[in-house]
Amino acid sequence: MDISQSLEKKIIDIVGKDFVFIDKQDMVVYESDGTHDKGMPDFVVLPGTTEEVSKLVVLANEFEIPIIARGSGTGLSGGAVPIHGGLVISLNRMNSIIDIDVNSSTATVEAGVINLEISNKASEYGLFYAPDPSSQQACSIGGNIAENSGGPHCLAYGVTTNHVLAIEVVLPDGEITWFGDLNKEMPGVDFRGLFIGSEGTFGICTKVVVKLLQKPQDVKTMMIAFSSIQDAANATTAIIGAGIIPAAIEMMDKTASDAAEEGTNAGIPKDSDTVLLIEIEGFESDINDQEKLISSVIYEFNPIDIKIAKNDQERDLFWKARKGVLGALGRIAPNYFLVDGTVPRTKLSAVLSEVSVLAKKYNLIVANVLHAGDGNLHPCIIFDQQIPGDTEKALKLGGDILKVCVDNGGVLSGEHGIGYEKRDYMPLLFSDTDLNNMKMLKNTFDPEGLFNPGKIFPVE
Amino acid sequence: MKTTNDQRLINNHYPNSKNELSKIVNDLYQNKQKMIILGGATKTEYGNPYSSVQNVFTSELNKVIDYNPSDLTVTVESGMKVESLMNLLSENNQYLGYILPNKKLSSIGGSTAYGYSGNYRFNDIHIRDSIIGIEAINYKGDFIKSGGQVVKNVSGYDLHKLYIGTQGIFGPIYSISFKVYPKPNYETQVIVGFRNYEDVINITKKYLPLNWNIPRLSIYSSSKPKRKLYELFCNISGTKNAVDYIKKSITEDIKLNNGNLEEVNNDINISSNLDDFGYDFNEEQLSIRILASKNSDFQHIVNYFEKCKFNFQFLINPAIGSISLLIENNDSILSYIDEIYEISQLNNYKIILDYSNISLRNRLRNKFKNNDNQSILNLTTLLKKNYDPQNLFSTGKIL
Repeated sequence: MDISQSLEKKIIDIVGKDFVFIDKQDMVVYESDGTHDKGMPDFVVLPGTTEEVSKLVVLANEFEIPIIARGSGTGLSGGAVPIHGGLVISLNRMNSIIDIDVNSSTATVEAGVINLEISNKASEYGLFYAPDPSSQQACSIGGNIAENSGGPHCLAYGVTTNHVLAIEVVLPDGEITWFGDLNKEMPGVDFRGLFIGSEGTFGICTKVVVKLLQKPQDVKTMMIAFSSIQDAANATTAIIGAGIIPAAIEMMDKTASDAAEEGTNAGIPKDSDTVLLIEIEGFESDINDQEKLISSVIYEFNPIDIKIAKNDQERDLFWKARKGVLGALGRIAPNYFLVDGTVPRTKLSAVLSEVSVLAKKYNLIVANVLHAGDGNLHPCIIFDQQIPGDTEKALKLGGDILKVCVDNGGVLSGEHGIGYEKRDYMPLLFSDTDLNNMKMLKNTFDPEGLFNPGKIFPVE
Repeated sequence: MKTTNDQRLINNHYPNSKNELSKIVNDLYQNKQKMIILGGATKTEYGNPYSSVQNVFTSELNKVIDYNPSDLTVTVESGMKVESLMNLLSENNQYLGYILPNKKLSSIGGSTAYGYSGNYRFNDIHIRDSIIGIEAINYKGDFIKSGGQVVKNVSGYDLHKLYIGTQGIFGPIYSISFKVYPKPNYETQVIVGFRNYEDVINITKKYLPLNWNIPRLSIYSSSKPKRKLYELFCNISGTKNAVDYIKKSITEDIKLNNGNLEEVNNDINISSNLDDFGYDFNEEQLSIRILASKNSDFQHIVNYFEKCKFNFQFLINPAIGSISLLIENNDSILSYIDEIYEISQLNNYKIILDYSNISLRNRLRNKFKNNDNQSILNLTTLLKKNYDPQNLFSTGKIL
């Protein structure tokens, strides 16, 4: 029996043969995530309990093979791609909502639970889970932990780390422990905070305690069309600068909004160049005041159309247009490369101008979709990987856009993580000392370097 | 840098630039000198400064590095006083979202290292949430950057979280970037008296889960004459309509729960003596904080408070899940501590010794050892070894 067969037998002993994939045709969906990056795993395993995860980790240590934790595979940085092969531990079977505690407004869930399912379940008690990535119908809470995911409503509510109180993790030596507490004031090292956003390089999260919030009494969603992207960007900066923090301010430029409108008939005016989707929440008595304040600010920036969702159906339609825009871009070309830089809000307009210049230089279409209120840009570079040289050109343009973000005081990723895709851009933002200190953190958790190797750090 | 003729390093250091801080830390480390980084030096109680170690004061590192109000972020040097930062933000109608205690004396760096955000919180914000970047100095004197000046960032590890709440054990912080918030248009403070604890806790249990904008909902054991025993301090903020709505709702509930409206204050810049509860004390008092989880009622401790004839004061913040106690250092103090410790153990609470004089601290040191799990201890020890291989930063803290 060779090493591979011996390992296979031991894996089957842990989880049973129904939950192990070893044939390439079974593993092909596990070789990539939402990006174009690929890597074939040696084994894919679907454990059903934390204890099974722990045993698998011990086994992988024994055989010195890489371990890659995977949620739903919706990531957009190549974070779950097994670029060096190894053991993919898919957490999809661990998908129970263990408890909703109404008194403390918390939910305890397994890591494979789909983000939206938490809110669906919590809504029975008038509660919801705030971070809402665009992929929330598919992405798992464990994946959200790995990437510290955001979403449109993070403008008002904050990102994943602000809503996770505690996590159960399997450490790289197989030990099971909890990080965090129901009280965020606990003295000492915030291992919970360090682990969230570490992209599966410190261990595997298996259970999560999240905060739940009371649903707002009233919601109003506005769709505002502008004749230029600069007007929309400046209006965003002005709203925030005026001291107004809506629940969300989302932006789509002409390319993105035309594609979204074609797919949804959400009512985006044909003559608009850029639309903002602004959502405000609060008491019924309060929300009209907020709307008036926002309207008074945006009138300075020549809006050409303002629509307010008349009912929940229309509101859902507005959001369907926004959240489905990446899929809609497939009408233009089969592939896209999604950039994820964040810049200070006051730099939005300048950075978008530079993105436009770069797109012309590379002769590629860029559809701009933004969590504008947070300064988080998602320029989608649209290309066809069947056209020779197009993929390389798109990647190079993406790198140039990230450089523009960093040059304007921004960062490489707002919510998707560095993963495999952006690792070589890290020196744009961090010195060798910074990176070495990050590596020291990695080595503290994972001295053998088996957890999700090849991610975050540039190749030396 | 101040040194004596024989080049032995003197005890107190006051760097006034980033590079000077780096040089001092590097020199001290190379000379194997133990060092404590001091901001406002408010945590050293009555033995301030330390005589047995090198004291690196950040008080001259007090500049604003970057502040564009429209970005809702600010970056300052770590020695800046909390009050200076609050005033700067206030000039632009902004705030941190919480009120750090002891604002006149405490520094931003010290408050970060301590990791306590006080009992006033907009939207349940904690200093761990609102810090978006830190520039620190490692044991070689090199600068380490983590995070940045943007509000959403997953570029590499959140190394800055190492420095929040860890009392300087990984080295000094040079600068800190915060996410800040617009001040609400209106704020009202309502103080309501209750004779029975059950009545006041009923109110908090109703309002806490609502995530309405009630940045302070604290229960104070009043010692004022002609006041009810338990006082609910309730700050409501937001637009006028929102404030009026919440105030009306709370006022109705107060009546239903036998409350007595004692004060209403509509000043937007309300300051409260509760902000410094547990900090404004004398040498004959002990200040401790007990942590549980959100919505904890601390009924056992309140029962004990009544049983021992109100010989200490408390401030409960159920939104955070904390109770702060201010105990007179009299003959009964050890029995109080024993009883409170036992209650805390039974209920899985954690105890933090905030302030005491040194002799009392030494007597109580072992009482305040909380039982972290072994994995946490192992990882913390490993981190300490990696980031401070000679164990010279804030020796004896945390671990």
